[in-house]
Amino acid sequence: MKAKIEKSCLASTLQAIMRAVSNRSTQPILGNTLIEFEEGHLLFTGTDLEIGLKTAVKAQVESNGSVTVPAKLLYEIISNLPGEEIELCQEKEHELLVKQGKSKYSIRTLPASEYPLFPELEKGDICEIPAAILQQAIRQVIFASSQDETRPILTGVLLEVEGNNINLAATDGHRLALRSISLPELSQEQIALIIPERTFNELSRLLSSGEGEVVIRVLSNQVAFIYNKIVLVSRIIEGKYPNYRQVIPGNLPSGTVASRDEITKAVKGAHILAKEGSHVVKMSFSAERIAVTAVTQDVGDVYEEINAQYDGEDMDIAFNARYLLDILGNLDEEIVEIKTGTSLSPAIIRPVGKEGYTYVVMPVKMG
Amino acid sequence: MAVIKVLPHSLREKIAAGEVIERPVSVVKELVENSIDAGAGRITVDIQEGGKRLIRVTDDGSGIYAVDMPLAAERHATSKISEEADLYAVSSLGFRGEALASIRAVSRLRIISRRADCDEGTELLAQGDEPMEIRPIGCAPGTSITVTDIFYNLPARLKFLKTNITEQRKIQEIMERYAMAYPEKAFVLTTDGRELLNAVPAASAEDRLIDIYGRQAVDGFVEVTAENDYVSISGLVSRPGFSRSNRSDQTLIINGRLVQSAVFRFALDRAYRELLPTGRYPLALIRLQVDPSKLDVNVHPQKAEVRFVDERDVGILLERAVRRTLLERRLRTLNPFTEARSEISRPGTITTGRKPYAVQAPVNMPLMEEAFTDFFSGKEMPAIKQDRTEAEADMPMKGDGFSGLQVAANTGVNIIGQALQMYVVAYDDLSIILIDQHAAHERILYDRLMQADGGGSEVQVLLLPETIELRPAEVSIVGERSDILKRLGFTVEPFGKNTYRLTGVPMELAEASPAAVFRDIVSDLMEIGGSAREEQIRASLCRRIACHAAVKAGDVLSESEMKQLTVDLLTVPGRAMTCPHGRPVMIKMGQAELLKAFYRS
Ligand SMILES: Nc1ncnc2c1ncn2[C@@H]1O[C@H](COP(=O)(O)OP(=O)(O)OP(=O)(O)O)[C@@H](O)[C@H]1O
Ligand SMILES: [Mg+2]
Repeated sequence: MKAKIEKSCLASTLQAIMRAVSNRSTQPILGNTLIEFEEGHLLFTGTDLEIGLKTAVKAQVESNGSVTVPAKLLYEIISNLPGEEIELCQEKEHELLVKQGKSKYSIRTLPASEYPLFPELEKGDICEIPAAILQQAIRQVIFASSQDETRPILTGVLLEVEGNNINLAATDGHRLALRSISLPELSQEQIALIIPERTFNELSRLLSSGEGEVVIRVLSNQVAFIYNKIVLVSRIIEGKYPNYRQVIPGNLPSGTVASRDEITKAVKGAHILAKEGSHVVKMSFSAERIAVTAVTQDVGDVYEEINAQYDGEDMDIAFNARYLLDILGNLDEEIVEIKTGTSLSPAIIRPVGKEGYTYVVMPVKMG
Repeated sequence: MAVIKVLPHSLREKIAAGEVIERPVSVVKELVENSIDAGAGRITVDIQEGGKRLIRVTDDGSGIYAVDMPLAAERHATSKISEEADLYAVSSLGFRGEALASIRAVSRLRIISRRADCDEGTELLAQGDEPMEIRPIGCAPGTSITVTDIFYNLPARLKFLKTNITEQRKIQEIMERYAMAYPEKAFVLTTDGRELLNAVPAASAEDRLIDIYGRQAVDGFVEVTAENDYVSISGLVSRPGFSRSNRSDQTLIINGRLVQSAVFRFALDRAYRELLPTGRYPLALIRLQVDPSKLDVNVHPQKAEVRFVDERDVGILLERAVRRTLLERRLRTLNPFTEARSEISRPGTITTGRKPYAVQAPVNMPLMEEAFTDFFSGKEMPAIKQDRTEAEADMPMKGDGFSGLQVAANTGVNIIGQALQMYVVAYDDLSIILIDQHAAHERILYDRLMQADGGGSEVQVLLLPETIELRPAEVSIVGERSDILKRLGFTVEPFGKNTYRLTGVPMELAEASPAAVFRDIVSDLMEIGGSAREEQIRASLCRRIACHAAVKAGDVLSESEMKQLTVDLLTVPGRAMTCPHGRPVMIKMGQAELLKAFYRS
């Protein structure tokens, strides 16, 4: 095994790989990255058995082979080397040498044969989707997923193909965020996968440059996201996602249109006081305005007012302020619409002038 | 003058009865066991006023011959054993010939019974020491025993009985347990015509479990089996995700007997170690079949315990069997990558086991290549944005020393940071302060909940209502306590048989699992019993809600969360500095103490 590789490539690769490497000490090999030396490139793999990352880096490979080494250690060593070109080679068994100029580090290795197998990347693409759009969609739904481990299904995000749409949906039982992306070419008609929240977080990080396309592919019991030179494989949460469509109210009688920025400011203001208590803020809708108020016993009260167009009967409806701020902070459009039914039935928040995003939030019943 | 004398017969009987019959449920237990011994396929129990007024157990079993009737309610008279050797190989539930005699000593007893091979039945009426009346009567085959006015002649005992609701619940619970122990038999329990349990004959223990716990719960159980040369164990135990705050849902059946056993409890505890947090217990229905000659059933006045040879070994056998099952399950759900490896032979998935990865590469490569088109077309990989992880961003103090952020002016406390993911470390002018994050949050929430009296707390309405199946005994308590539940912020409505629908939870529980909290609340209600004062119940439920809603040890707190916690804790005058369970919330080390610790005084 012997190869020469550019330091900057190697560093950014290891940075990516380290996200998947486990730091639990129970299985030391999971703290390692698998390096495969092949003609013209090195393949790096990292996995903690929940997700796996694999990526290729251009290299001058003189002889093939494969080995595993602690990912973090390798990263620290190369970060500390001054020059650009790094040599990786094996001279003795169980040791990988990292060389540059007069520096020579040897790292203990574990055999590649003991490394978990990376799943086979069978055919089965669901779609190809622009990275920027996917990243935005993930950001706009992921906060609504549940943290409650006793309901594993809700801790994930639903990835669904339906007709010409890819839908991402997340709910924690109190609110639901749904983003539909219509794509002209979808190879599968109907698919529903529940993706762990963490997977989408990691994917989102990988997509941060926002360029290019992501391929989504279903494997036998995993899902793969392929982007640039990186493959991210993840387990799928087993089970059936709740029928979320059922909870999206169809015709809501009243609607308000207002500036997202102004609502955000008002709710944030009210939240300062509300969070001393139960995070509840009250919105009062009437013809020209929305009043946002909060009262916390022994602390104080707040009144904020925003101009808004409203058609409907005057009404008061209370929400958990966090549920409002989550959505307001993740929309990119200037104007939003809030549709309401009664003070105890679900409300809908949507950006104005943009299709494909729906947020359903349950109100709070005031004591 | 002699001081020792033999007690009168009726007093002797009462004393002896006291051992066997402690409360109405003891009567139900003895009568149901007699019906089971009589080979009944259907056992119907009717009670009034929690069994205090009346208990009637009717079966379709063998019945009692007219000639045997005079002895049925005599002490030490039994049809089940006849010589000493029998005692060491008892296969029936009864063997002492004491139950009916004991019941007779403390209540008014009526037996009607007919053998299927006789044309006529017999009726027996008895009441303490008074002469029994026995006469022929027309009736259906089988036996019906009615016990009225229990302890009418023992006012002291009567005083110790709990409310009707509590006594009824105890009966309900034991009936559920018998139903689980004998799935092939029908069990019906009614009070004043209202059905509390109706279990039709079930094909399997699992089907019976569905009758009792509801269909939802069944997915929460896994099967265990194990055996050695003298015991076989079979049972259903809950997955770690499904647990209770007490042991009331653990049932052990040894040779058809419902018994308690410390060995069994420990075995289960050990099997679940590290899989359940402390204070959580699994649900379990465990059936042991032991060679009767290894079993001593004659050790407990109410036959609630048995002893058997090599009990410890059986405990270990059970522990291992349960543990193995749980771990296997867990591995399967958590570990897809290993799963890929174990599915070596499945066609279509190419997994080459322990062969070096390189061997696999040629198969894999074309697809990898496709995946890496950008790479092979020479485009460079974009640099990955290196941001701090969320955890890091939330850890204000990591690495950058004591910024000592000032908490709200009116507390005068500076927060240093979070330690061990359990404590907020802070200081004020006079001392160093450690705050237990969970205990502190529990206290804050508990106080807030207890304060939000009467008018009720705020309710988060659920977008996805939860349906929750309960045991029949639990259904009645939820009904009885609906007022308190509502005031605490739980919106529940009946939703079909033994099912409730939860459509709103207290605001504080926004982050918790509504179903899990509600189940815990229900177990608490069961445990508290029917006679507790409302105030007591509220306090106990608020403790439970606070515990669920509070941040846990191990949760990473952000700067603002630490600040909030500290302010909330310290700015309410007169707040108790213990958690609702009585543990301290905060430790202060004052100047004097510190000086002493550093030998500076
Ligand atoms: N439901 C019944 N059907 C038929 N026979 C019964 C029934 N109940 C009682 N008997 C008869 O009455 C006898 C006395 O019952 P009792 O419960 O007092 O004693 P036991 O069951 O023999 O022993 P133990 O005191 O351990 O319960 C029994 O041995 C049985 O022959
Ligand atoms: Mg008996």
